Amino acid sequence: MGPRSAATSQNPRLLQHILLAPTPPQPPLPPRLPHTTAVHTALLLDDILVHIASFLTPGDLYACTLVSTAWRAVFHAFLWHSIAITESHHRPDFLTTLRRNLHLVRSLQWNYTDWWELHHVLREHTPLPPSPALFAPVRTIDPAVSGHRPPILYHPQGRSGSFSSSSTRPGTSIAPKSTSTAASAIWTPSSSGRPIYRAPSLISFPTTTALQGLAFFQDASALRSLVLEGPFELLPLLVALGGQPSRSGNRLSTASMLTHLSLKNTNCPRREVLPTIDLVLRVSSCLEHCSIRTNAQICAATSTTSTSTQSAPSSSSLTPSSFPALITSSSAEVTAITTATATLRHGSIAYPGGATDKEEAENEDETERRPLVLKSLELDIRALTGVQLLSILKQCPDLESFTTTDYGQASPLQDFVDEELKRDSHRPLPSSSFTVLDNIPFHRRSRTSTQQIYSAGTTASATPFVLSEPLQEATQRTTTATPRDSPSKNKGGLINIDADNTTKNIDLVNLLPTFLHNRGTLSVRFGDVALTALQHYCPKLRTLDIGQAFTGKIQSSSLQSFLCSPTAANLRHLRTRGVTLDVEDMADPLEATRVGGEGTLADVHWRCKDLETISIAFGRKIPHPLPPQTANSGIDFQQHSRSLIAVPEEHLPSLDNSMGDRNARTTALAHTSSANMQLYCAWAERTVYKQLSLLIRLRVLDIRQSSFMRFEIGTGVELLASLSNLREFSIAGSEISAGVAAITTASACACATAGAEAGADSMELEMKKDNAMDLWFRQHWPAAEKVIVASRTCHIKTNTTTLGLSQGRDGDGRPLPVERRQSC
Amino acid sequence: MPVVLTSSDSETFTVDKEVAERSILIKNMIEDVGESDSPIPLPNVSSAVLKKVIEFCDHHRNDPIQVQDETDDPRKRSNDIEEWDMKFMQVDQEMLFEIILAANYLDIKTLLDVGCTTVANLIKGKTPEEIRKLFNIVNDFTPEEEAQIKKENEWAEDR
Repeated sequence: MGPRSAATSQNPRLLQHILLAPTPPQPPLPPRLPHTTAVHTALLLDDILVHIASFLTPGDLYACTLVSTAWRAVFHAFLWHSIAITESHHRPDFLTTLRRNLHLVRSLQWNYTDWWELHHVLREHTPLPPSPALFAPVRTIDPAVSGHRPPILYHPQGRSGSFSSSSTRPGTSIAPKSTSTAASAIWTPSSSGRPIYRAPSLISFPTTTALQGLAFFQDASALRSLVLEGPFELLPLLVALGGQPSRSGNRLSTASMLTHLSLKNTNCPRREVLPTIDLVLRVSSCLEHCSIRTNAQICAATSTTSTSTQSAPSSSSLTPSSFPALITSSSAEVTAITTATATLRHGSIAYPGGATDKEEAENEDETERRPLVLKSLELDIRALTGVQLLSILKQCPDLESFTTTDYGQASPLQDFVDEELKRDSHRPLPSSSFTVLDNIPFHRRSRTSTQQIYSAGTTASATPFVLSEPLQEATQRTTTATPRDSPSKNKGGLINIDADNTTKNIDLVNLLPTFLHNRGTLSVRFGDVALTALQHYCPKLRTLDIGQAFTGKIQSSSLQSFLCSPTAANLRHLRTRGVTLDVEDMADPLEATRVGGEGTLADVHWRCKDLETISIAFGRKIPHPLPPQTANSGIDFQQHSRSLIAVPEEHLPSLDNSMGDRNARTTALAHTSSANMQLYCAWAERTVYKQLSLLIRLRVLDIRQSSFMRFEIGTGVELLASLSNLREFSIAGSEISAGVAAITTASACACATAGAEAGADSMELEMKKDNAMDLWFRQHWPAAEKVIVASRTCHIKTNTTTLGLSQGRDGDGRPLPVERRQSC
Repeated sequence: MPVVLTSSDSETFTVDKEVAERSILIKNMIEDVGESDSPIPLPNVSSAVLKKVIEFCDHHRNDPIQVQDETDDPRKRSNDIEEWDMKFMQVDQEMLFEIILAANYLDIKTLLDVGCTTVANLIKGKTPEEIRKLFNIVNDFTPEEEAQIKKENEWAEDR
């Protein structure tokens, strides 16, 4: 299309000659015959037709294929460029046609997963009769046609009417709720009225059988994007996509141009074991976006077997039952396993038909250990270990987005340091250098492949965990604050602090890929150790988006420690999910003693002063909510909390490292007087607001799940007036909008008084408080575009909109009320 | 600096370099030859068509140059046309395809997109027979071939 002439571009003199020549040069395009029109000329050019085709729908392309042979050649290919298999593809021979045209397909999306059809596909080899336990008979509600018994239709319990018979006779069917045309083809009433099972079309789902029918995309040479969601088996597909290893050391990849791969087979009935994660990563050297969600399990051990030139089990023999056998290895073998797993040499696995010799393996190492071009990676896979994860990250220098979950099991990054260092586990441990670390519960350890490594050089209870000094120090603090850890349990979980290894350990953590340093961790689920590692070794971190598999993995104290560290100084965006920062951790009694004298509690300021967005949840260690009798008690919280804070030590939760003491103190605190509780809550609220008020660059502030914070004038929220750049604010919590505390500011005192006098008329009080807050919003957050407070949603619009803060005034110049929506 | 363009019927047009360089072909020629007062011959474009092309380029002179991204899914292209472009394309069919050919030759992607979108909108919703009639195309399929194509692609018929 509009090609630059190769001859002229390579020879400027020639071009000059052409330009200066008196007669026009020969055009690069074929000349039009005098009798032809522009229409005919244009419609014979493939470039033009392809361009036109790009603006047509499949239906129009279908019509174009039937215009003429010349048009068919162009439009047929374009029709098959992008295939999204849905229920409308239910044609008996669609798969055959697809197989024939697979070389034309650039994008294939096949994620038709209606559960009801799936149910039948999974039982296609064992059709009738349906199990009475699964299906309850339901008679049609329509009157029976004379001479015919009404058919008995079956529906799965708890989901009535989800399919119907395909009979068109009146009175014999129940209209399906599902619009699936395939669903109606599943059951057909016989003359006796009994349902007859008819196998649904296989093309409904990407089953293994269906994929086999497509030869696992062996001929899909043009395939760039593949999205599959269904009950297919992952291993044969990945092996086929990645290509079989050959004697020459090259892989015959069937999808070498694949740039986007998204596979989800979490409904696959078979629990697979993947020999190595490289199977996923190396399906294509061009792969840029990869998402794998599967219930398959990574088998770290099998990659090892191949390193020692043993044949790995075939795909069919890799079953969960074979996995335990693989993990019971000798000590030497386990060391080899660890090493091999860490390097993750692709191609070392001997797939069926692909025996490798030493030379071949070396060649493959050379060719296939090149860095991947992956930009985004999502892994939802079982038993992914830290070593594997680290290896993945090492291979992906361009990674911009990374998400991994592990079915709520061991957090991958939590143990990466642990596993990496286990390779040195055969070395004797100096008995003089032990300290306590055991923040990985034993029940989770046993599920991961680390278990086999523990058994190599030492016992699981004597974990040789080597940490560099800062990491170890921080980890100690984290560990001792873990509520789950009892002294008896910690007795066995010892780690080795070896000064000789300090340099090595720093190198280890520095191996974290550059994106962690530069771009932050996005949606990475990790634990305390990884957070501490980031704190000490990733000083350039700008974005931190963390979640955790289940509560307790990331401790509140670890998060606070991170936020107070120099690393946090560069942080611009912070989002925490599933992590609650306890307000008690935001104060340092030792610091307070030094600064404010004995018996006082001082805030420890965060170093992340340049934060622009933050989404965080605050909590407190005291489990009980604010006692109801504190309502309208007349206590001036503000006065108490503003003094910051002469809270008697006995009224505060312990911050020492003794869990027993902590529990005792917490219990005692729960029974303190309501006045003390009020005082405590006032201090907690003010501590949070004060901390947040220092983040003056904030544009987005999202406070979630606070169990104690109120958002009313007088609670310390006034401190947030410093956030003049705020664009969006949201706060949610159990005490939000239910607060009945005294309001002590001048502007709100009247509201409180009125509320007290009205007694039961709390609605009026609420409205007045709302109005006071609205006024406050206008005064202090002029740039705010959206403010969401608990269940009340207030939209403050910008000056450019109808209800601008400066424009939204009535005829007397008074500000218009803020638009308010009641919503959840 | 103005650029002089010569059409196939030897009519010359003086346009701003900025406007002329909306055409990748002309841009490359200017880069290769260097600054010159010599007219640039465009033997595949008549003066009537070149006038329209210059009008389009002048209107879109400040638009960012579109770069073809091979990774883009071509199916995701929008059929929406700006109002000015739609009026610009309200010409007879012969001129429409002349403009498309010129855009293809001169390598002006935005103009080619607008032209092809206009043609695509003409095709939309029509049966094969109606398309043949629209563009005066002869059906050279045998009935067997036509039936085979219908069978193979029928999944797309109502999509």
